[in-house]
Amino acid sequence: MHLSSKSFTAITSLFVITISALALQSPGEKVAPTPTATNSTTSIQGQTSETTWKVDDTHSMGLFRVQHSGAGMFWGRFDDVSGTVTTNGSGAQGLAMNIAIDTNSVSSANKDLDGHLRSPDFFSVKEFPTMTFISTSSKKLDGNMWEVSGNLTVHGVTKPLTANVEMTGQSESVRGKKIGFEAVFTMDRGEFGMTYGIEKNAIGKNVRIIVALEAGAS
Amino acid sequence: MEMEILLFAIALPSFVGVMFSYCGNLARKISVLTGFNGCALAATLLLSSMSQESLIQFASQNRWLWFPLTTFMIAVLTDACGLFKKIMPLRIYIACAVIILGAALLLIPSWDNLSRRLFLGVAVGGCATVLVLVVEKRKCFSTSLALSFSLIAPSVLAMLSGFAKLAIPLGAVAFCLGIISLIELVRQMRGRKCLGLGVGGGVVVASIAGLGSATGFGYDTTNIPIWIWVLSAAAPLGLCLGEFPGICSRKIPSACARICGCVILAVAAILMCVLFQNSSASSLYK
Repeated sequence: MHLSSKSFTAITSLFVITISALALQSPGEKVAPTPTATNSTTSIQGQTSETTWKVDDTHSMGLFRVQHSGAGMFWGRFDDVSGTVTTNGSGAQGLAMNIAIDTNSVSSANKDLDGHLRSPDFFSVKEFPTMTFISTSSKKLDGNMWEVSGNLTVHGVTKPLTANVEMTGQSESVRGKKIGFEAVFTMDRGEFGMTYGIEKNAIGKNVRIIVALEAGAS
Repeated sequence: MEMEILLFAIALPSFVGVMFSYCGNLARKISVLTGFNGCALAATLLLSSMSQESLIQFASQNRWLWFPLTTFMIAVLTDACGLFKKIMPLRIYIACAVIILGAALLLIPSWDNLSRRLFLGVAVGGCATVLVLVVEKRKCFSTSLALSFSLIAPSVLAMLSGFAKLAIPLGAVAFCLGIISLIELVRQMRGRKCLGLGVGGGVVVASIAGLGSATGFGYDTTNIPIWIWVLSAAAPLGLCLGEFPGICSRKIPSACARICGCVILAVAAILMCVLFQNSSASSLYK
């Protein structure tokens, strides 16, 4: 087929414009129009697109630690953790978290204490069945660490909070792609209206919380 | 912490309640009012609750505080009806209406349905009517003592369900009522006429037992069966044991029967709860 010079020029120009547009596109921009569910096969650091990971509630849990009677440290856990984690490789928007914990899943391995923890003395699970953390921004630190800021809602009260989040690993298998995170932060339970035992330091007011997440690509 | 609870959550509110009751008894002699025993008990409950939890933002965060607040409202309106002291049926009708209003305002978990709350109000109103009739008939220390034992049941049940903040105010009211019964005993021993709890006192005791048990049930996460909570709410009706034919005409057997009736119902509720919790714990480990 013989192309006229005009046609050849038009096709060549179109080709050059397309290549230029692709080359000038920034790495953080989405290629697909949907904000979720764009899978990537590259590592989190090398991602050029967003990935939303759904938390696997069977392999995720929350732990909390509080001082008891001014002496020992008491540990308890939350068994039901759900939500999503969104990752991409660009700096400021590298990590977003939307995590919910079922407060009724609180467990201390002691039935009587579990009942007390679920009562209005502490989590009041009948009134506030869920505690949530929704991130608003994140900052990449050295290695696999992020500083994630967001709003923590506990006992019906929402306060801003910053957590240190570590990416603990990534894998890919026949079961799909998985990623792990561990978030650590401390909260003052008095600020959230959970004041039982704070007087005279019977039960400490500062609670350290560790949330271990395993998530799969959605 | 235990000393602070004993002092600020039990002793101090009970002292205020006893003073209120004493002032009410003085007012009976010099005015048309029929005493403030209802307000005394409700004030004890409210003060003890406030020592556990702040009233600020109670509507959104600490909704269990609706219980002491509505009970206080019931007490104030019922004691104010002492102005109609000669029209007993009217006072009882007003008391029942106020109890139904108070139950309708009990905006706590598990009681979100208005019709359920109104049904609760009608049930508590019925109990209050029966209680008022016995309280007005039996103006002696044994009535107050029996009712103080009956209020131990919802307090212990709340504690067993893990709700210490509710158990302590209920215990404080039982303690206050126990002190009032001792004062009545001293009056009786000195040959003076007992004044009794009055309509207000009877209505408020029924409200505290009924609405307090409903609050405990609403927040319960240990799955204590509802019939155990109903048993604790009905514990004050043990007074009726002293009105059985053959007993009611005799003072001492009637007094003993009243006390035993309340104690039996209260102990039964507590025992059933303990047995239930032990059996559910053992079934977990089978």
